[in-house]
Amino acid sequence: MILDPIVLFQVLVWGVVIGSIYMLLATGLALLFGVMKLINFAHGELMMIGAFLTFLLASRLGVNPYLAVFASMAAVGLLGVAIEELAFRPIRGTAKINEIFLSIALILILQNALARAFVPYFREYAQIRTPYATRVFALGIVNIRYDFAILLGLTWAIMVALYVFLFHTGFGRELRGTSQNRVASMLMGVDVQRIDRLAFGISAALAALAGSLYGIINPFSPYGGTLPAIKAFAVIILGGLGSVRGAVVGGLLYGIVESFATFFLGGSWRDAIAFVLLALVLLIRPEGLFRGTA
Amino acid sequence: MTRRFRRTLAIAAVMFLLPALLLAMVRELFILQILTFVFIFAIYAQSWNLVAHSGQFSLGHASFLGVGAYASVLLVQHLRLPPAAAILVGALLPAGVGLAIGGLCLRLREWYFGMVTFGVTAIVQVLVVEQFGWLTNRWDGLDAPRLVPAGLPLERVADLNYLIALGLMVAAYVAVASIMNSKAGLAFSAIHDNELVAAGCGVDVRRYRLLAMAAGGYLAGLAGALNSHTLTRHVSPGIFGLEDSIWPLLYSIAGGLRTPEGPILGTLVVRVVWEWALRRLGGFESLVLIGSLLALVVIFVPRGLYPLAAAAMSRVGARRRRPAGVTPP
Repeated sequence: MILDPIVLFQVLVWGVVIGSIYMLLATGLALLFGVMKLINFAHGELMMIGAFLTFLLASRLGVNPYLAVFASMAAVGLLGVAIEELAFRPIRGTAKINEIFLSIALILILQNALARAFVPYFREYAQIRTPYATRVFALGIVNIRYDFAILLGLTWAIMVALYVFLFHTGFGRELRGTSQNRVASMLMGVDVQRIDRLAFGISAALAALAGSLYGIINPFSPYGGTLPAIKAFAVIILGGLGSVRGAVVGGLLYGIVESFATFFLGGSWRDAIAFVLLALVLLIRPEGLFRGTA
Repeated sequence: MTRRFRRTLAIAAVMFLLPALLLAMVRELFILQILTFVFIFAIYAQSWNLVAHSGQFSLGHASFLGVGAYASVLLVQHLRLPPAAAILVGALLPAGVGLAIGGLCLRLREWYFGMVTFGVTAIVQVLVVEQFGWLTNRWDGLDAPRLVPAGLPLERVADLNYLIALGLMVAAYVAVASIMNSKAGLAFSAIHDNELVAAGCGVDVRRYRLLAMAAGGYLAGLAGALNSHTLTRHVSPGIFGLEDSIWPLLYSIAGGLRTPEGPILGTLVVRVVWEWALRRLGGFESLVLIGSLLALVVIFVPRGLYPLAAAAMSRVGARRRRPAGVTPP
């Protein structure tokens, strides 16, 4: 085992980068769970659609990927609103389990529609190329990729924007209110259906951002969204369902833990470590690490 | 013998005789293969449905499918058991896995349960590949010997596989229907509807949830073993994927959740639509179609096809039985 501090620091950086992506996914899921008490298992598919749109804009039209991300977020956000309207709205109020079934149907639909759309562009895996792909800068003893720095900056800018939206606007207040108590908000004159749409749209847009960033640092395939999304579920369960703060801290922490676990235990543990953690937390502290809403 | 059990036996007889007759008439190998597949995966869906009946919606059923297949193949390889015995003995291991997972998840419901069971499948895959790699040949997997004795002509093998799978499917149906109609079934149902109230009424929630997981593990493991000895003739870690955990759920929802007939009807219908679509449309489009159908079923016919068909049948029956001269209101 090489315990070189430079290597360990690189492992940490990678953990923070991948953790930011988990954070974006988990935040969207937590927001959605808070407002609609809904778990959208097709979150990973929205993520990959986002990645694919950014890929198309960047590779076909030559748009800078970091700008294309915003178009992709808008498009996937609208898709999220449509999904809420056409699929989840009709079954609202029926057995909870129907929502799980429906999102599994959505996984099949979106994943394979996407795979079909992928076919003409590349054989298996694609990667979004950025103009900074080969450039690094020195940070103390190690070199950091420009992409990593931009990715972290963009992620945090969006998170700050989300924070301002949630805590300093009227819409944000309505959204938090719905999350705390749906009926009471309704009685206070909040149009909760509009809040549902809004939450689904934001959640989908965050997934698109996560997917695009994932596609910049990793080769991706239409089927690549399932595992990150499932890890994000693990994160929001760990962080306490519906808690955005838990999603942020949990996502970052999880990325770092996964990065180190992969480094020390070997690659095939990368995907299982999430569930070992999840099982442990559910057994010891089933309410999650941070209980509470918003 | 209660009325319900007589009804179960009657349905089981039809369920066995119709396909057996079909075997005498149809000689196309690919149709027999599709039907054999339907029988095997109906057992698998039956298992998922039984576990769901006790309020536990598993998203990791592939662990049982895979462990059953590995256990059976290893029993044949190392203990020289005949495959026909190995599938029945090997399925005890996934039953044990079911007990372990069930014990781990006793406090969990709905998506918590789904998430953890899904996660366990990922862990099982790693364990099979890494920890037991010396036994399981890692990612390459193991070849599974034929279920029936070697030396038979290929056509006879297909016929025998078909009949064995059919027989086991009918046996599983009778077993699950009996469980659902028994006191245990009532307990499952109570736990499904409201665990707290069930516990308050004296149902031993822990015991019955574990019972459902063990029985489900056994049946799913049996299906996995049967599949690897007849259709795939191979078992590899790919079996622990998301897809194999989703299919039984699809079949059960389409056919009718929490009825013993539903999973069988659902497997048949979905599989036939699937095979048709695959030939007409291509792989991606077929999966989109299956997904859309599932979404439509969930939105518009949440109880599934079997209750719909049963209601239509009884309506026809009622019309025929109506005495002459009496006008309906």
